[in-house]
Amino acid sequence: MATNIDNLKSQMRKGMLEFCVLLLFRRSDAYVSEIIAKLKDAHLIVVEGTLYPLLTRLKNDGLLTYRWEESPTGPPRKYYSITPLGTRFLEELNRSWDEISTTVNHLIDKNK
Amino acid sequence: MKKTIQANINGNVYYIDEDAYNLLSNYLKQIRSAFPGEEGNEIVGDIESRISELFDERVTAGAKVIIYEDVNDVIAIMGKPSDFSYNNDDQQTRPDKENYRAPFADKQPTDAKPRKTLYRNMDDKVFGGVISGLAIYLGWDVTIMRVLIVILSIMTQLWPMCIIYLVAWMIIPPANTPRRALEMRGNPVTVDTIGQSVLRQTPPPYNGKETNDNLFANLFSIIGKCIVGFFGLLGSVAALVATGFFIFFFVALIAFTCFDSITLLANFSHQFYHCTVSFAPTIYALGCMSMSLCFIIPGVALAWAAACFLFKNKGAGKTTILVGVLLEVLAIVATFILMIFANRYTHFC
Repeated sequence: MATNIDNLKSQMRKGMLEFCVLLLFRRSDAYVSEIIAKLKDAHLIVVEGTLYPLLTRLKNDGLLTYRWEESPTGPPRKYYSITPLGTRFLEELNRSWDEISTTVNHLIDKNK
Repeated sequence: MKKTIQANINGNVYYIDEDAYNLLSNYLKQIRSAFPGEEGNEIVGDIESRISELFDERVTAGAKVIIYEDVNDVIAIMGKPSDFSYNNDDQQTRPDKENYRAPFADKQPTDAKPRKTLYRNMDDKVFGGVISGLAIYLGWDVTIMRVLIVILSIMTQLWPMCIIYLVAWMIIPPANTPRRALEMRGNPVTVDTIGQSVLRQTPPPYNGKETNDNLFANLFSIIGKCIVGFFGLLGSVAALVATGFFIFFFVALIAFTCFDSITLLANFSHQFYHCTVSFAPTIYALGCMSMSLCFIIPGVALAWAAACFLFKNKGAGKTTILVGVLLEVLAIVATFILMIFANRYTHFC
């Protein structure tokens, strides 16, 4: 059973990951390393490698875009920002999250 | 003491211990295999640039050299491809990890037992890993296979087997990626198995102590090197002598073409041939030249192969081997034809 719970937990986290990543870009643009730090603080990712396929996919889907920014040390780095399409997508996700959380919270309260 | 390698990661140069370098390079290969295609290039590029950032932190903290533990830490931070490579579509349909396969494995039917593919085994090779790969393909023991092939090639006077070997070297692709190494052994190609094979390939860190177990291995490797060196020497001597003959007959050819060849031959040697036509000596010289060529090419190839083996250089490219084999075949055919013609027009005294 324990493995099942772990599995379920990681499924939940993975399902949320894209939503959370888009949320982090809502206010401001960011470097990947900043995003990684924030996600790690929130215990949303365990290994950093998870993020790169995700970002590439979001970029290829047109939800994110990036530009190269010079950095004081070392080569230029990718600086990601959200696209208008991404913003719309995010609002959609936000709405459905509100619904889900309302339902779940409602159930939790009711069955206390 | 350890050997250090200079590596360029994402435009920054780092000094990396050799064992750490091998681990990192295998890790990157593993990621590369997990993410195929154009999108994969980008992901690998991003991951490399993050690795370079993580290394930068260590360099800023005062590290002069990236060591094995550093790379291990970085891999722990980044995670194994099996931890993070999943397609969006797989996500929902993936409660059981057993059935999960990497995106590129979808081409194979899931329940079919994967067949072995013939590759050259790059992990265990003397020259090109042909016999080793064949042994794995047939499920035989490598050593027995090698001994059998050596005996067979001595019985058939070496050259036919050498040519077959060179052709096989050229045609059979090397198992130079983790994926091919798995296909060679007939293991299913999944992110998990690739990860395992990559980790198996990476030697543990070298702790600076030479153990006595290596004595015999060293002895054998020295004996092996001597044998290879001997063959290399044999090859170079053969090539040199044959080149001498080649030059001699080339000069003779020019002489035969410029002067009256029959008179020249009569002066050159008393008991030479009676030639029925004046161009017979020219054909003879041409025949001898191509015959010399028949020995020069394998001689050079042998010397080259031995040198590559002894000094751990990269072997000849496919094109070079192809051209060499073609030239050899042409030279043999030309020798036969020219000699038959020359003999037709010549009578021994």
